[in-house]
Amino acid sequence: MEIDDNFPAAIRIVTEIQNIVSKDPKLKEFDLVIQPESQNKSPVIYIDHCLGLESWCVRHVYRYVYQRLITIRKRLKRPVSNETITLLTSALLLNPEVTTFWNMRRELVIDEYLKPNEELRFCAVVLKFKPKSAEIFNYRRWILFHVLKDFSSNDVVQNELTVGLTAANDYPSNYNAWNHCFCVIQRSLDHGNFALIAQQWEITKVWCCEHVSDHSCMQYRQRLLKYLVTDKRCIQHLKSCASKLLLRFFNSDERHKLMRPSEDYIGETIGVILDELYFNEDLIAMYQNHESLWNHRRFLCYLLVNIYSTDCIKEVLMNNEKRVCTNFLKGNEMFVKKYVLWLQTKLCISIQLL
Amino acid sequence: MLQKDVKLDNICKTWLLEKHIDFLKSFGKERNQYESNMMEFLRMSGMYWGLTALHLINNGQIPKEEEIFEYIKSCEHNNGGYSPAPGHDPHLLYTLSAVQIACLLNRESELPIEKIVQYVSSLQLKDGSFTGDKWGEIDTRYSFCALACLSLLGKLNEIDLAKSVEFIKSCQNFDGGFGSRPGAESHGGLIYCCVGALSIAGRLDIVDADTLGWWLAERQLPSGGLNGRPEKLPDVCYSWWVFSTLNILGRDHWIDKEQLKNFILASQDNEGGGFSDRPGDEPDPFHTLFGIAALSLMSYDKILPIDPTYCLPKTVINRLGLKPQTLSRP
Repeated sequence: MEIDDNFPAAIRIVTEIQNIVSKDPKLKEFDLVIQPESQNKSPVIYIDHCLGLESWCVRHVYRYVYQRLITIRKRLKRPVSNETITLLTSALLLNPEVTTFWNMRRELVIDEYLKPNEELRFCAVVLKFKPKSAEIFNYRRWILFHVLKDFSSNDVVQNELTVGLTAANDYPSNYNAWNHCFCVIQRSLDHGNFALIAQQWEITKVWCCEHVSDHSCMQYRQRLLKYLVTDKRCIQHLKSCASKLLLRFFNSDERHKLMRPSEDYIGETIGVILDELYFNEDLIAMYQNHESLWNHRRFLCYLLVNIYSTDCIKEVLMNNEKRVCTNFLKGNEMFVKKYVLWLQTKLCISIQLL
Repeated sequence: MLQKDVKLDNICKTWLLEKHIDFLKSFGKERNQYESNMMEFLRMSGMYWGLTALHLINNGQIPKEEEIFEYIKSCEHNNGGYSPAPGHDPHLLYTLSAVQIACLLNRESELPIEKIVQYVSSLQLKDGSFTGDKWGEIDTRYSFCALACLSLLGKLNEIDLAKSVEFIKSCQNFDGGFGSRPGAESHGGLIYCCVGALSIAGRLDIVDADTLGWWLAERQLPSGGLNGRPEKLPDVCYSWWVFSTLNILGRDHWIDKEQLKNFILASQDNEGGGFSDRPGDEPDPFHTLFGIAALSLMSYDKILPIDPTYCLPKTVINRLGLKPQTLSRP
């Protein structure tokens, strides 16, 4: 492959970028700065821990690093040089979808030319530029699960969840970001960190209020909720909300049928689901016509019916959902009608809308 | 109403057959070096998208077949996998694309079949899941890649099929859909991968077709386009992922086909041909294939029929003697 000699400045530019990436542990972001023509100065902009590259030079820089890296990759013997790292840094900042380039970094991590913790910092910066890129999350997970392997440190876990939530903030319904958070949660549970579920439950509640159309966040809460209702070690970290909600949801006769004194845990689990059901209702009241909210509600009913497989729960739900559907029919007509049909078909709960 | 969708008023919906043929024939030629460098990491798949689309609308004719086969050979690796382009690393995604292209060319028997089988089966884990390459990332996409790849080569018995099915089943959600891993959100593209894999395995009994069909039908927006998850914008590629799954499940009549056709036609590029994700955006071979393939499922114009499981022309699937499972209408 021919190397592009038309742009001799490329080496200087990628070296400048590499220096900033390696010398600033507080580097926050990378982005392109729209600038159609060269300004006769360096196109690398570095202010307040943020790195920018002027758009006019992107095609020249990428072409250079891409062709150099592919030439290097094609060689059978691959002597490691600082040049490779420098080229990879710019290539991945500009195009993080290239699996092969991440693989080259993986090999450099294995051979200890790159430090795992610095790599986590580097790919957090790349994520600020491309928050939904699957390859970046894959690389992070590889570092976490195959290289570091140590999940005893709460700092590592918290940092990971913060990175995931930042990406979720930067791109709506970010499938990869929420899955990444959940993977981290699962690993932490393997290490006995049961308090994490309750903590995430609280944090994402606030987050949901600000992102009512983000179904991925609500689905993440569904996963957390499943842990809370099936694992006592998880729910014990939650501030109890059961008693008041139970009084609100069931009349005294119904309560008696559902609960026995020995079933404290059942009381707690039903409390946390009801809490979410009322929270969802509050959001529906505030924000009309959001499919995510109505789909989430389907899940909550499904969960209640499946955990408490008694006719009583269906009766109570029928009354409650009739109230909700009637109250919110105006402004949510399509979603209410589909919801009613869904309850009827999937859960055998029939509601006559007034 | 607040719904996220697009408006199709005043957008031309005339079928631009000749322009699409030109677009597909010339793709890659007129691009500048920068753009082709940027996209080279998925070139093998790009070729599969472009060639399949061309085959469907050009009466089965594909130019430069020898050159294409040579390209596949140049991406072969010692471990049996294929990379998207020379100099890149092998991956299951591009191994499937390479096999699909070879099938399209009627030259799959010239591939190193034993090595490919070895590569694919080496990526299966104990729980039945597949990783995309040696670095270990798991995704139901890769389950589809593995099953499709091996069945096209007539080697489905070389992996633990029961375990593969079990893993896919563990990714099923309450809404009938599937995600990338156990517990992950239902997603139009991954639902296609899971249902497609089950169709290949002949295990559609795993699917709750009514519940899933319901969820899939709800992907249709007032514009007629389909999205892949709640409250996302419609995208031509979901015209394939969602609608082909409905076809496999015998529930294609659960959405409004005229409306869908309308949305797909509105996403054509009137100047240079090709389809984009939604009206007004840049066209590319990925959306061009999935737009044309969805139109094929609706028997539009003279587009050749496509197989909803493999996303290859029916003639190819018939020639290989494959009979992926589908469900009849309820």
